[in-house]
Amino acid sequence: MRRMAVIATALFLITVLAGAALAEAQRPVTLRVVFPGTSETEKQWSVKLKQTAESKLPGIKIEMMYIGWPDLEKKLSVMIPGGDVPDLVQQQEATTLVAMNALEPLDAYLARPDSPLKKEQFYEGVWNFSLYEGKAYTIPIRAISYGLIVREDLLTEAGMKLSDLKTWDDLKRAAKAMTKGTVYGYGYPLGLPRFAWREGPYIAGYSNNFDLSDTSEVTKPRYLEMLRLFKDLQPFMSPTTKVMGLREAFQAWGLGNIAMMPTGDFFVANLYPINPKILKVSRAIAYPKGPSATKPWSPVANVGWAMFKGSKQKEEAWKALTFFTSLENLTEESAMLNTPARRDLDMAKLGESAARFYPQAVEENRRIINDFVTNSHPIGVPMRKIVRREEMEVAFQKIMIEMLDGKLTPEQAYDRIKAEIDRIKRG
Amino acid sequence: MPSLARLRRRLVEHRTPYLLLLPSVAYLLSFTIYPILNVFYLSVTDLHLVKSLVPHFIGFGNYRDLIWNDPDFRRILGNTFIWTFGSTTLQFVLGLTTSLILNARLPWRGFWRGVMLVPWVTPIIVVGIIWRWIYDGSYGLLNYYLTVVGLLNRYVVWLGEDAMVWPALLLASLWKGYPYMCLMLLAGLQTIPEEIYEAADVDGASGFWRIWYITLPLLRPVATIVTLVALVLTWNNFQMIWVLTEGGPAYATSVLATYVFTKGFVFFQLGSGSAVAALSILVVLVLCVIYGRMLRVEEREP
Repeated sequence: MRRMAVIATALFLITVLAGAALAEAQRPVTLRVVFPGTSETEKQWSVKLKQTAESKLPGIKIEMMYIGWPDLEKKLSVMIPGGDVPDLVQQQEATTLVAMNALEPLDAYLARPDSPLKKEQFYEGVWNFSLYEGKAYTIPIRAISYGLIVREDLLTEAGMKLSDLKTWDDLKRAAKAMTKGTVYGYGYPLGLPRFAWREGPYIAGYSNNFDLSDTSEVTKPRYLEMLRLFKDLQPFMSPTTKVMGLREAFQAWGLGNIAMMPTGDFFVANLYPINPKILKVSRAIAYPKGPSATKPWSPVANVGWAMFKGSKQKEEAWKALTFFTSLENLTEESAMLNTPARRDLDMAKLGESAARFYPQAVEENRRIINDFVTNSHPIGVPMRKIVRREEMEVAFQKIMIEMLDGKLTPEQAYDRIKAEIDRIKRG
Repeated sequence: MPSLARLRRRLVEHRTPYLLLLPSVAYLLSFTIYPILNVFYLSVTDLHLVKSLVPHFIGFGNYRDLIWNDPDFRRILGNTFIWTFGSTTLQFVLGLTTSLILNARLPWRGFWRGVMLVPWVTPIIVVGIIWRWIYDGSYGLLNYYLTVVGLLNRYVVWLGEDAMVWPALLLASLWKGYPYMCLMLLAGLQTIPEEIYEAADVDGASGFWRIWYITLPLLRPVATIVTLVALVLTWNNFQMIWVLTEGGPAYATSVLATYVFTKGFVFFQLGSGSAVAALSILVVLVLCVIYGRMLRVEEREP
């Protein structure tokens, strides 16, 4: 009797353990994916991408975390030291993550004979932005180009045409002419460091052939010209400039309160949910050439998928990454936002997809994206990869606010910016 | 050895209460004591995630840099005092006034007591977002209504103008925090015996003197505790400032709590951020000790 009880117990335990092992083996792998964005359109796309991935990748579940771009670094900076890294992240500029040794180089995966992804599939400049010291850390999804968005109708009322905006003097003249009533000629989202750096001075700097992180004596005259430009444009900026983030700036554009604003080709995705009608009168041009530029540059970057070194499910993560960057998904995502990173996209299909995302502004979206591709791509120069850019952005914002408040002259502002950026570079 | 035996005997005799206390002690050690000790440890290292994930001991270097070399730290420390003492004082004054009103016999007293609690039960993030829209410089309700009634002739950027941003923040904090004060003081008011007021009436004491000589002195123990709690909570309040201004523009509204976040999670300087946190803990501890000593001196005076 006792022997029977022992055998029965042993059999029971074996069955339970085997069942548990089988259940463990069959349990789907859950990948944690961080998807940053600024618009409702991107948020909806992230949900769709998750659902499609789960249906097409058996055994893989996706935990999609959608957050705003300004919050991305803060979220990752908590996750990384805690050892709680996600598996995949969509990243625009991975310099800091690469410097922290947090990302997995993808060259070995790309070199596999069965890899569906090859660098030749991508535009060269866009691919090169994903390289850090020669290694590929992200797979590009979309190219981002920057320029100047203009309310063409207000410009016409002011007696000017888009083709008249060639120099910074033209820009100031147009800003002055278009500022009346509740409309301000120039929008500058100074309220958050990221946009205080990028959505204005950085783009203007490129149009004058220098990068904001470059404080050498060679660039000093160009830097001062840029600071004086913003000082001259200040009377044509909204009084809320100091507290305006990019979202508030797009809201102001959607309500018709801003006439010109430097920004990127994510403009349509952000404006469409606010006011699709305003896209009819919005055009994109290259930022006018600065006084010291031989020819204008336009900053280009890309958004790409990266894998974390700390991921414990790298094979599954790579599988999901190749799915996310498949031709079909890239066609949809490029139609939603920015411009294509892959050469081999079917542009007709891209147009059809764009019509689904922006049914009330099909032609307008096509026109604005075409504006960016035509005007900014030919003069595109990859954005410099800057370590500790986040610190520079905060210091830069502070000094710009003081300058626009009248507490510093442009020359004093330059000295302070140089001192801060050089200090940060020295570490 | 005898003391060990005594300890063992005590543990055995009282094992049930000690076992019941164990989860709370474990929680306190894991989620309060250990993190605080870790903050002090990191504050004496140079941990900077962009440079290295390995911390190296540097003594009081972070503290020296903050106090002597950081041009923003002194301003942020000053902001923290403004925020903490300003919020607490305003919340106390309004809380006391409201509690006196709600303690009186007024129609629908229960209803008004419930309505008074609405700001307190609303999540702080929601409160911050609502006030952000009220203060919006272009489309905000405050600008609109003040213009309609003729108190303003131009829209004010409440969260952007130097002279207006702190009054704006303190008003939002007052709205959110005064119900807690009111509730605690109301409970204290209800412990004051009615006979004392009746005796005061017999002596001919008017409303103001009743409050000054009876209500406030008898309310002091409750007021002391609730003010101290409010001081500490406000000192560490991160969410309200972050939702309204993110500590900007340009550190104008940064307090120590937001500076810890900026240093640690925007700049990735965990060593320096921990030093800010450690200094914040020390300052608030000193404030609590001074506050306690001042009250004990007052209690000893005749």
